[in-house]
Amino acid sequence: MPSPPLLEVNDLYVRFPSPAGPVDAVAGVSFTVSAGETVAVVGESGSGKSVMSLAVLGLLAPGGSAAGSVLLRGEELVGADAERLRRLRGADIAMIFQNPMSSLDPLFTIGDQVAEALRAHRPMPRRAARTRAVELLREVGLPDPERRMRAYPHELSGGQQQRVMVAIALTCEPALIIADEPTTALDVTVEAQILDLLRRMRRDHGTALLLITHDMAVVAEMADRVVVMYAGRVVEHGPVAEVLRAPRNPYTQALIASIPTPATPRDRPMAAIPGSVPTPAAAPPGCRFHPRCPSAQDRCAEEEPPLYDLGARRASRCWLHDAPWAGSAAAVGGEVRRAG
Amino acid sequence: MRGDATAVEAPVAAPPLFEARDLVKHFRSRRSVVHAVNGVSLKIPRGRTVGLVGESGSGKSTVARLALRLLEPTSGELTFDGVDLRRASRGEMRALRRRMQIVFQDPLGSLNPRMRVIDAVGEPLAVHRIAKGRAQVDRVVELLERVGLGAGDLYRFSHQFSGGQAQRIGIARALATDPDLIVCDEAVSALDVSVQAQVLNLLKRLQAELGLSYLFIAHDLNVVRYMADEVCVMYLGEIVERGDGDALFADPRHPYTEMLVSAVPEFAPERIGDDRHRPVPRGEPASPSDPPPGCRFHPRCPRAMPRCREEAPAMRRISAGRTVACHLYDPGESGRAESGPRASGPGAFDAGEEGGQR
Amino acid sequence: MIGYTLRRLGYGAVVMLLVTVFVFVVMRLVPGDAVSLQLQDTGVSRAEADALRAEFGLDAPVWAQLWDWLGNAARGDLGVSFYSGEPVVEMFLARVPVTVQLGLLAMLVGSLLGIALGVVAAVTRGSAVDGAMRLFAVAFLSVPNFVVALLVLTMLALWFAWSPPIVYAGPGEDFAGWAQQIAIPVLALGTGGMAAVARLTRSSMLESLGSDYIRTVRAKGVRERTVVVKHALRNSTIAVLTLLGLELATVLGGTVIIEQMFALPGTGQLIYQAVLDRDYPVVVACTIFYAGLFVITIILLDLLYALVDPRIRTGRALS
Repeated sequence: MPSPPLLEVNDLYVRFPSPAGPVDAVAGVSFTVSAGETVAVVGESGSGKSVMSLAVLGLLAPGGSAAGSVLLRGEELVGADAERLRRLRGADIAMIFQNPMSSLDPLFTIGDQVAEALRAHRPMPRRAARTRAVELLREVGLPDPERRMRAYPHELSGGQQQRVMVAIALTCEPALIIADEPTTALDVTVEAQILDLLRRMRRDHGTALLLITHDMAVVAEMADRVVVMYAGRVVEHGPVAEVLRAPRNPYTQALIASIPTPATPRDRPMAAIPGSVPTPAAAPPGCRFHPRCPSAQDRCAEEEPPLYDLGARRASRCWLHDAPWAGSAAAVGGEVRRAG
Repeated sequence: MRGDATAVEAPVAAPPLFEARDLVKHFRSRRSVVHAVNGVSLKIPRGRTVGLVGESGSGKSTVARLALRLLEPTSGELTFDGVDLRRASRGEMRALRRRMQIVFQDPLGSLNPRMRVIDAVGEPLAVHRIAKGRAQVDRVVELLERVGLGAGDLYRFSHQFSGGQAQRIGIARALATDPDLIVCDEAVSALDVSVQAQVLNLLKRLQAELGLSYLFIAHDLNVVRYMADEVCVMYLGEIVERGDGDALFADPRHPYTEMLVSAVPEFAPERIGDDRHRPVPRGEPASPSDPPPGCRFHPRCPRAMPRCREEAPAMRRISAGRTVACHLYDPGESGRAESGPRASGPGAFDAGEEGGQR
Repeated sequence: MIGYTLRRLGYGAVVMLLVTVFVFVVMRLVPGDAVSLQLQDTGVSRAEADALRAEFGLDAPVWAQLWDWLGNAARGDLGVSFYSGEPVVEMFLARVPVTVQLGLLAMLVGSLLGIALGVVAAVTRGSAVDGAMRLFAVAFLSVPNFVVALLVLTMLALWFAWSPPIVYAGPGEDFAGWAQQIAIPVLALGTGGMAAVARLTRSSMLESLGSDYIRTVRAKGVRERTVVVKHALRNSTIAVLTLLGLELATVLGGTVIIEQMFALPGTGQLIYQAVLDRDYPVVVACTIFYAGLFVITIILLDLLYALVDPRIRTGRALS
């Protein structure tokens, strides 16, 4: 029985100015995250997944603007006033970023940076904040936390820095943690440790996780549901097992086929997607994937397909689902149409 | 000359195109000595690919630079096609450099962004006085077509290309001097998955067409497995295990290889919903400026014995095409080696979710 | 940290010695010496001139003179002026306070105002305030400080019929007079630095504000004021410190002209006159003073760096 959504992203657009006019890095993205659930947003470079995650918390770089709706427990975050957003950040929604080395302030000790997160939301004496910070660092498995409280970021390894980032994210027991490529910059043995830590955190605190990643293997290991993005658009979403076992969208299919696995035959060429990933500014008309799509038809170049509701909480954006045998294609809620 | 089809079918006994013996590279700084590479030996047969895989600090990129003598080894021997590279004269070295090329992760990052493709790819031709004028243009077009680009790209600037196209240009540049050996140093690591597959396919095709040998370096085990005939696993400057990629991944014998293989996130949709918790590796690599004594892996090794703390294990051949540097396989330890580390199963790691760093 | 400090001090001493030797030698290579300048057109015979040279010790080879001078300097004796016959040390000490006041105030005005303007411009990036700040910065950077001084003087004289007092009085004697006299020179010397500091502060603040670690601080829900002052500004200081070291050189060089213009009895004025007169002992002493001031500032800045940036302080990894 799915719980009511904790986070509801509805028709979210993120626009950046460019010399050639405004560009939508994120174009009409919708999905939900329920309490305690892990949703992975997966995509290649330029898919808009990271920008989308920053827009949720109002952390877009200068010039970027969001439109649409992001509801946290029903409260609108797009256009909310700065002070309200500040109070939510870290307290209700926390973030973990890709590059731990550059994500910690080099001039402050680990202890200061964890304690600062605590004191930003709960006024407490310095000493109490430090005690709590040590507890948090111990919880995330940082060896010798008392000593490392006084350490500076450059004195820690990448894995240890990312543990500190997780500790910072956990300070106020947020309902949702957004992790933007949390293991991409790490070595594979350390990646396994951090993924394990995120799982433990999710289990012990019941935290929901919005995981932004390019790695389908991480999605397979971590997520309950997956949202696949391409060039600013959601192209497919649904429960992770179903989507990864039987992807319905040609892009998802091709992407999964091009992942090297231990079973990929060495004596045959790998399945690759021709062409390259478009930048948001150079997104083609019609379906954004059509120039690289093996099943592209004339229609795909002219008209962008809607996101078809495929039932069983799955959806895919492709004209293939419009085929007459797919049943009556009735538009639902404007953009979403029902098929099959 | 190089690279006709016979080289590919050369018998195994034929002398390797490239051989490194006991390579050592120490970087000295004021405060410490970084033992980046510590006695690495490898052979690359003609037309074959040797893969180097390891985490950061393993020294794999330093090996690449030593192999091409972009760095001077502290000690060790290097031979290329029978010529001792460390004793080669300037003239000989110059001639040999044409035959050894490298492709980096960001091949165009080191080039002036205002450089046109014709100059980027034509530069090695000019440097080595291979072709100039019309002949140079023709050769560049030929090279571009070989990597899936075309004459239409000749006058575009390097910054106008996507990552995958840039890597194709990097490969065309490397091919310009008609090399026998190409070192690919994380050549596909920065690419999107869908594009990475294209470049891997291109590299394999070029190898078949031109009889190239590759030293293929990457941190992604699955990519190295796909590309390499022989995979060498490096840890803190040393090769700890080598063998056929499939066999190595299916049955890793060194405890570090085992840790590495099981740490890779697995794309296995059919197993989603099972108990998805893999064993969790423990610890992090030590610093190469302060490597542990004895076996460098012993502080993280679940199977470390007292002697591992004191004595560095030697490379030992344990079966056809498989060598391991681990005391578990010493003759005196044969009883244990018989069953191998794998027989003891998950004990090699802290127990899954409950474990990790405590 | 102690080793770091000692190393810096050691480098400083070496630099000072090199500067001394260089100035000593170069001054004697310039054609014409104090004696020939003093006795110009007086009809004094060669023999008498040579006797004078012997008295000043100018007949010995340069290296011998240097050696003597260093020996005396080590005992605190920097010689006497060829002209007034006064001990150089005394002439000098009388004039140091003026230059130190001037330089210090100019640096203070330049750095504090510059940093404040830079921060405001960065935080209000793209606004009218930001635009005005950048325009002023370019203007002040392009106009030499003595021109600024002249313009200010002229405007005050024309519009308010006011000009600063001519005779210098120390802040202890007549504070109001001192303030009036020194205000314009301080501004003239400080504005160039202020503009440079403001520009650099703005750009390094912008870089810092766009960095990953600031994003983390914001994601923690920290107040924007704390984000700017505690994190972004502190990280920007590192770049600004480097600039301040260079700025000091400009300010010190500027004192030579500005003191001349405003009749301020400082070392700048002293060195100016001494160079014209080939008054070697005074020139050497002044040069060493300027070099010493510079070296000490650089050492202080290096220590400040280490204080601000733990990466310089500790350097080594723990793990």
